Amino acid sequence: MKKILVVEDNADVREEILAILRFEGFEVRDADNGRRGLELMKEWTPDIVVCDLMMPDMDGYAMLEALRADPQSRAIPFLCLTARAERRDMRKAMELGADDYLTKPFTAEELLAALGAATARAARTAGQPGA
Amino acid sequence: MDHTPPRRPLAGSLVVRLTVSTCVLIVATCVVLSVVLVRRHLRDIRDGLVERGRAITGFVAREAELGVLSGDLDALRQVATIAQGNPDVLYCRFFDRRGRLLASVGDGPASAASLPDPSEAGPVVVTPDVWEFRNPVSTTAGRRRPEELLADGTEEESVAARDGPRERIGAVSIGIGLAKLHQHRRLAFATAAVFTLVVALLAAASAALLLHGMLRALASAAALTEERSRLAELKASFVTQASHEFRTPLAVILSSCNVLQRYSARMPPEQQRRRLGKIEGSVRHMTELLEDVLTLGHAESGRVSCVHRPTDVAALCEEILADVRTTASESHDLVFDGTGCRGDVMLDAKLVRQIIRNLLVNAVKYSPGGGTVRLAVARGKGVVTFRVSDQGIGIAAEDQARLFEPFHRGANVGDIEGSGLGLAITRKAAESHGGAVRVESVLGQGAVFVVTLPDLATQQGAVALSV
Repeated sequence: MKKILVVEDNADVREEILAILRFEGFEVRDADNGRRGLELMKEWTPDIVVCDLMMPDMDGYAMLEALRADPQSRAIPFLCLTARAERRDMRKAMELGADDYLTKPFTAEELLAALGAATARAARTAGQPGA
Repeated sequence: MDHTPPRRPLAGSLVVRLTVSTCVLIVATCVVLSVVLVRRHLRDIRDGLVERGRAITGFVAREAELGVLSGDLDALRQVATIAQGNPDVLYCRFFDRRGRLLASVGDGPASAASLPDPSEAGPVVVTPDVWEFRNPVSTTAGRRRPEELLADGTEEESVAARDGPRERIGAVSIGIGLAKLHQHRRLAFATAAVFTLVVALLAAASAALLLHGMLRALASAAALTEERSRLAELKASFVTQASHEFRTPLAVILSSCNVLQRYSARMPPEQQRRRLGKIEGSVRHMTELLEDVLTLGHAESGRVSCVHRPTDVAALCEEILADVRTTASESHDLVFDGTGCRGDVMLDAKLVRQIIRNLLVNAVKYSPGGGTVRLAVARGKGVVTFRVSDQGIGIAAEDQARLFEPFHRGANVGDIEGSGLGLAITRKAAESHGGAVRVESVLGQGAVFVVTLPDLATQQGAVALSV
């Protein structure tokens, strides 16, 4: 069972993401900002991170930077799920090492397709020599 | 974003150069024109003086014929006196055929007393202040002495004396003073200098005015462009932020619908009802957001009218408090202090209601632990002051500067819902009323919002008293 960390400050949106993922058979944990997400990851390593970008205390960009700076979490697929739909936000996230970028509002199909693609990409990367 | 190079300094420099060049060109043209006119004027005066000097000399030479022939010095002096009737004539001198001085009338330079060369008519510059004109004195060849002609002369001899071949018997020289020419020259140059100076001053003043006007126009144009650019950026930023605010409730609606569609068969009825409630709440939130955006847009475009009418402020405040109490929890104590405000005040009740209601709703919303929310009103110094204070989460100093900007919310709001438009609308409403709003707060120790609106009745009373 794939483990997914959902980091989202809006409780209603977070609840729906968690519901979709649980109904699809994922093991999920959640946090309401980047700092709490990173703290959670010290004791529980997810296979994928689904993260909002604009959050109080520590935003998604800062969390992504912290993940990519740590060898332990550098390879974990990071999926942005945000209300920021501007191209520059998307480019910034991709430059920091995000694997995919979904904008709100999103459908369950889009979220699941993005998770499937990220899982496949991670599997290919893991299978490569030297990876 | 494209960055165009700054054009204002370049344009300003170009205008300065253009204006200074025009000014220099005007002054230079004026100087050249003055010199040309002065030279022409002086040449005309000189030509007139030469013509007059030659005419006088010719006249004296003709009239001196008999005096030279006869050696009658009195006659010569008489001719000289006639010539000196002209104020320019300084002296007259008469010479015989051998160049000996016969008579000299008037004061002239010593050098001029020597034998003149009568073939040189003049003007001969004797001194810087004197021109000398010369003319030979001639008579008819073979003419006898005048007394002889008078004694036994015939009619034929008289005709021969007038029209026969001429014989040089002496010379005259006339000194003409140049005082008038010098005076004209000085006057002409002084006039030209004054004219040039006046034109230069006028050109400089005009150039300065023109420069000032053009630089102001350029500055205004640059400021206008800057303001337009700033407004365009603000508008773009507003649209972007508004779209962010709409996307979150839209995400709740769409994801809740998806969950209901895909998994309702595996979901207890209670969870289904809760999701339907979330959808309804998100739609309501979006509607409020939309209304706030429209209200702010209305205010930003300056279409909010402010109609002052006599208003019972205390009653209005009690009414707003009663309305807000219905939405507040039991842990909130909403208190009104209207002791500082007696009588009717000229206010727009609709705008005041919007301002005070927004502040009271915020005070309740950002006091999650409850506490006292106080509304106080006071009149004085030409203003009505409303103070809304709470014991809530407070506002950090770094957030206070941007608190009244659309969509800006304090970093410490946490899960407390809000669009970030309420205070922007409040500020606009206060400004539409000719007033202002400010905040005083320490993080974690509540906040005080102070609204000051002009008290027209008090101000008019003060004016009436001063009159």
